[in-house]
This record gives sequence, C-alpha cells and structure tokens, in this order.
Amino acid sequence: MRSITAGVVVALTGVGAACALSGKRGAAERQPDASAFVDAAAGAGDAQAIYDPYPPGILPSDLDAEIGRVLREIDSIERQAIAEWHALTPPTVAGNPPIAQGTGAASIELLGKLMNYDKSMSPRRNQACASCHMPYVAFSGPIPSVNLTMVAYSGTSYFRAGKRTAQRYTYSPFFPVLHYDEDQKAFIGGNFFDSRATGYLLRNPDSEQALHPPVDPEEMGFPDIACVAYRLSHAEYRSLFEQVWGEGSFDIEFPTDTESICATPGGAAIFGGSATPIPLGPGDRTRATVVFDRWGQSLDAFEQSAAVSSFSSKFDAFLAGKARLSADEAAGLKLFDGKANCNSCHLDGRGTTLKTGQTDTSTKAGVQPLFTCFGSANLGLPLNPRVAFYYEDKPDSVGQIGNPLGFAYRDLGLGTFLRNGLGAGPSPSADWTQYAQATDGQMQTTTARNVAMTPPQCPTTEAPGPYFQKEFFHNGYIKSLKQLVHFYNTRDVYKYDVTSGHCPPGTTEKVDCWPKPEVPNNMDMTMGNLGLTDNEEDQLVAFLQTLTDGFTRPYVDAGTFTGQCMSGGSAKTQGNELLIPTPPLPPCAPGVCGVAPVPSPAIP
Amino acid sequence: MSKMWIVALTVALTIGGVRIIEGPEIERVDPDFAIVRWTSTNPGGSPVHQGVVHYGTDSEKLIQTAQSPVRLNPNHPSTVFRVRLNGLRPRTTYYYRVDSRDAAGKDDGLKSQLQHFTTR
Ligand code: HEC
Ligand code: HEC
Repeated sequence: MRSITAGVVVALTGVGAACALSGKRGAAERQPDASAFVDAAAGAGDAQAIYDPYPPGILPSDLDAEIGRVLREIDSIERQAIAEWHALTPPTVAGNPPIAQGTGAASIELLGKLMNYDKSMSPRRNQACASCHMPYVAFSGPIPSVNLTMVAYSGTSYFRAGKRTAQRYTYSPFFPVLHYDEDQKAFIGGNFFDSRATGYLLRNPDSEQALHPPVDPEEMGFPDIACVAYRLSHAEYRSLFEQVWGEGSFDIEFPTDTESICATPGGAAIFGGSATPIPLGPGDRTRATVVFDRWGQSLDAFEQSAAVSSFSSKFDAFLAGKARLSADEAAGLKLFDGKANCNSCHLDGRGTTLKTGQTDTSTKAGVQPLFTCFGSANLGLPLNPRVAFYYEDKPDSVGQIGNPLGFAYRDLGLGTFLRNGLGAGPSPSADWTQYAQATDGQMQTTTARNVAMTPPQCPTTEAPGPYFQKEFFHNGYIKSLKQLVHFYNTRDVYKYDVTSGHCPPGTTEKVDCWPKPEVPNNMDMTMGNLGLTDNEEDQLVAFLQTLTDGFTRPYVDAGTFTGQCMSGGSAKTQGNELLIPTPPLPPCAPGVCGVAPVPSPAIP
Repeated sequence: MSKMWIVALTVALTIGGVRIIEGPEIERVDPDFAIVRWTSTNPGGSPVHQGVVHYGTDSEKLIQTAQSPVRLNPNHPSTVFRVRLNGLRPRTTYYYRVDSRDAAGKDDGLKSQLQHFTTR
C-alpha cells in the first residue's frame, strides 16, 4: 500500500495558515494509527490495490489515518450497542395481529443501530453506513480534511468516491414518498439530493434509501443485494434480527462460494454487468430480498428514533416556551421568516414576518417544524472542481470506471433522475420524465436542522474556532455557515462569469465574487440579493445554531469524536486556501445533457 | 399568524387582482445580462410562481420572454419577483413588460407599464 501524499495541513493554526498543496508529495509519513485501515483492508484476505487517479492535492494527506480513526470510533459504538442489546429485555409477543409488546420498538431501533455501525456490511469489511454518517455531526461526513478537499467519501474500494456530500440523515425518515403534486406542479418527498430514493415500493423513502449504499460501487459496494442477507446471517446480532423479523428469516441456501462473491466489489468486470451473481433459486432469491427490505426498514427505525432525530434543539425548547433566544438568535429568526425569506422553502411553522415593535404571538406549531418544504430548487451553486468524482475516469483494480465523463459530467440533480440518467439510476415512473426540463439543476431542500452540529470539543463550524470543518450543499462548495448565508444574500450581487478558482484580481471568491452556476437552468430567484448587512448574516448564523439537537437532553453518541479540531482564519474565507482553478470545462456530455427530453436551454 | 394573510387577501379582493407595489426596475445590468425586479401583492396559490419578462429592442414587438421561479411565502403580504435575462447585446436598449404566473402557467393578471433599459 502506498502512503497518501498530497499535502493538506489539517490542523490549521493561526490566521492564514499555509496549506501546502505541493512539494509534500512522497514526504508524508504514514501515521501509526493508520493500522486500523491496514487491518480492515486485509480483512477480505487480499490487500486491495489503492485506486488513485487523482492529481496531487485532491486527496487529503491524512486520509488513511482518518478512515482508520473513524473505523475505530465505529467499532467502539458497535461494541456498546451489542452490550445494550444484551441488556434489553426481550419483548413478549401478544395480541392479534401479534405485537412485540414492551420492547418491540426499542428492539428494531437497536437492530438498526447495530446495522448502521457494522463494517462487515461491505465486501472488504472496511465500511459501515457510519463511515460517512457519524453522530457527532448529526450523521453527516466525519472527516474534516475530506470535507475540506475531496468532498465525497471513499467507498469500500479505497479511494473511490462519489460526487456529493454525505448528507445529514437526521429527520430523513419524515420525508413523504416522492410524488408529483398536481396543485403545486412540483415534486414533493423522496430521499437523497435528487429524491431518487422514492419509497415507491416500501412506501417509505428512507427505508428505500438504505437499500442503495450496500450495492453502490462508490459506497459499500456489494455485487448483489443477497450479500446483505448473507453477511447478516453471520452477524453477531443475527438472533436479534430473527427476533424482530421472524425465525426462519435466513432459511436461504447460499452457494458455497457466496463469501468470495460478496468479498468482490460490485461493478467488477468478472460479473459481466449482472446484479445477481449469487445463483439462488427463485424462493431463496425472494427470501434474500425480503431480508434486504428488512435491513432498510430497521435502519429507518434507527434514523427515526430519538437517538437520531431527537427534536431536542434550543429552538424546540423555545417553541415549547422553555428557553429564551438570545438577542442575536431572535433577530436571526425574524430575518429567517422575514427579510431573508428562508422559510419560504425551509418551513418553520412560525407566524408572519414581524415589523419593528411587534412580537410573535402565533400559537405553538402543532407539529415540530422540519425546516423543509420537501420540494426542490436550484440554488445556482458553482461547479466545485475538488469533487473527487471528476477525476475518476480511469478503471480501478476491478475494472470499473466511476465517471467516464470526467469534467464533462454535470450534476442536474432531480432532472437527471427523472430521465433515468447517469449516476441516478432508474426512475419508477415514466410519467415523471416529462418534467425533467423543469427540474434540471434542482436539489432537494435540506432540513436546516442540525446543520451546525459539531463534536463538543470543537463547538462550532466557524473559523477561527476551535472549529470542526464541515462542508455544505450537495457539492460541498460552501465551507462555513457564514459563507452559506452570504451566498444566499449576495449570489447575484457579486456574480462573475468565471468558474471557481478564476475570480478576477482584486476580488475574493465567496466574499465579493461568486462564480457562475454549474446549472443555469431553473435558477431560483427567491434568493441571491437579500440586502442583508454583515451583522444580519451573523444573526442568521446564530439562529441556525439554535437548530442543533442536544440542547434539552444529551444527543446520543455525540461524544465519540476522537480526531482534532481546527483553528485560525476567518469564517468568510474558511477553506479558500484550498481553492483550485477549475480546468477549462468541456461541454456537458451527451450522456447527461443529450438524454431526452434534453435540457432547455442547452446547458454549457 | 393569519392576520397578514387576511390583509393580503382583502387587498387582492378589493383591487380585483395582483398589484405591483414597487418596480419593475433593473436590479443589475451587464453587457449581456440583466435582472429585472418588482414587488407585487402576494398572488397566493401554488408555492412556486414564475416571474415573466417580455422584452425586445422594438417597443412594439416584445418578442422575447425570460422567466425565473420564486417561492411564495404564504405569510408575507407581498412577493419579490426577480427575473434573469441572459444573452443580451451590449449597449443596446431593450423594452419590457412583466407579469407572473402560477405553477400551472395561469397568469396572475398583473398590469405593468412599458419600461426600458440599456445594456452596458
Ligand atoms: C461512502 C459514503 C456513504 C456511505 C457508506 C453511506 N452513505 Fe448515506 N449518503 C452519502 C451521500 C454522499 C449521500 C447523498 C447522496 C446523494 O444525494 O446522491 C447520502 C445520503 C443519505 C441519506 C439521505 C438523506 C436525505 O435526507 O435525503 C440517508 C438517509 C443515508 N445516506 C443513510 C445511509 C445509510 C443507512 C447507509 C448504510 C446503509 C449509508 N447512508 C451509507 C454517503 C454515504
Ligand atoms: C428557494 C428555496 C430556498 C430558499 C429560499 C432557501 N433555501 Fe436553504 N436550501 C434550499 C435547497 C434546495 C437546499 C439544498 C441545496 C443543495 O444542496 O444544493 C438548501 C439547503 C440549506 C441548508 C443546508 C445546507 C447543508 O449542507 O446541509 C441550510 C442550512 C439552508 N439551506 C439555510 C437557508 C437559509 C439561512 C436561507 C435564507 C437566507 C435559505 N436556506 C433559503 C432551498 C432554499
């Protein structure tokens, strides 16, 4: 295994700390705590060849050490969850229909938790869901240097990565099944930025979502969904699965070579494009599929549980009349509902915009607001040339090419999904395809809840900190909440006809220069010139920080981060030292922009 | 909570349609690009509305159309519409009128004066 060499200094200290992007190649020592990584990679019996089509500086220098760190954190949470399970009184099945009385709910939530932190749910036993979704950042990406550089997280095939940020999944179970609303003439619901986890079959997008990563070659990467049933049948917590979902769940006759098939990442040339390389008879195939669906439903139970979606923020306490907002937070809320108009998309269940001297007398929202309308919009983000996916145009060790289009790929979000397009997969409804042009560039409105959650020892996302480096929006272009609000406020004020890394001399990218959008179609104009002052932007940030769970009661596993905080610099330019010039962009590839109904107007 | 909403509704009923409160005006103009902006009473209806600008270099023939989506805020009495005009010619005078539509394409019934601007 080679050492990771691109030099990115992770622990920034002092203002303007230099992040050497060059001259460090070959110099970085592999750190001792990378051993977890080596063990994990060796788990499958063969040391894997590292996939590295990346130019220097794309991968962070501490990547293998950080993956090792996260895997250790995952193992320790899994051990505790096993102990919790042993301490749980088994439920008594009673009634008709039979209900697991007493601890039935706790059992399925715990089962989901055990699955979330189980790294054997990947061919090389080196990746769990939690690898990209850790509790101390509200189940989003746990590696600061990845958030700062390559944006997407490596899957089971190190270091093959996807194209988007690892989304927070708090509150994802509350999204409705994707549907086209005839009155709104808009798509509502689904999971993922492009809503492609529709929930059409399980009737729950979040359960369906959990069926994607296990067989996504850029994520956990099994070649066959039956591998999930196979590995679960060997899991330490198998009996809990059987208790929740029924004895006999695993009565499946797996062929003797199942383990070796499952140890080979999906997409490998030897499978010849088959999605079912494990030869199972129809009955066994169906049983394996049922187990796979149960996997999704169990993970959904965990994600909906109070351990994940806990409605325990300061704002929740404020709604309940149990906490007062500070002057800045209250001013931020007023802006959110009023001048900044954020709640036209991030519905907060509050009353109208207030004039000076008025107080909010609206009755307490009947349900806790989710800070999303479940719909989608194109905010006009610039293409982020750091996203690892753009560089994955060469085959990996098993012969798969992640992104044959290189920089000719464009992320059209919902539009591509409706066309059954590249990177989104099949859509279950041909009726939807007609709306593709109207949704090009749209991404789902993320809940604003927990956007500011960080580990306790790095109490903020904002420089100078000490802070935890997160990444924001689907392509991680934005690196602090100050920048996020400033983007909404000034996108059209500081619009320049350049790509990222090419702002004119005398301007500073993200401060007084916003590069052009990756997808100009359907750009939302609710935002872009809000007329907020610098202080008002800060007040909005203060308000967003009240949406972090763990205020009214501790957030489960929030204290499990064992990495380092960063410090220094300014939130306005956080991460700017790592901006790279976007290469001259080839036109959008026919594989994306040539699929009918083709985007209109044409996307450059 | 519904107070403002009722106010907006009453206004709409008395005037008999959606009314422009401010603008239209040019928010920004470049050699090849402009943003037209206006504020109207909140038209209500589908959450997403399209601001529409009919424009052209001949004041008699506004043969081009640009439209941009905004999301209504049901709690706001008024709505700001902003529309992007791409691909304009430098140092050229354009005439325009505006209107807005709901998501199904139904006209909000705005009356707007003929305006003009010149690109840089
Ligand atoms: C390699 C990193 C990675 C792994 C492993 C991974 N995810 Fe994700 N997750 C992501 C990314 C990236 C997205 C956003 C992808 C997109 O929109 O295309 C995402 C999105 C999600 C969402 C959608 C949230 C929303 O509100 O729409 C959920 C839920 C989720 N992941 C849960 C899981 C579960 C459960 C697992 C394990 C079965 C898992 N993830 C494994 C990276 C990962
Ligand atoms: C027109 C609808 C719309 C409006 C108005 C809007 N947002 Fe958003 N918001 C979105 C969408 C869509 C996303 C996801 C975009 C993406 O990832 O590309 C998002 C994402 C976010 C996120 C989550 C970012 C992350 O990475 O998790 C936050 C926080 C946020 N918006 C705050 C705000 C604030 C503050 C305002 C007001 C200044 C605002 N939004 C106004 C649609 C909107």
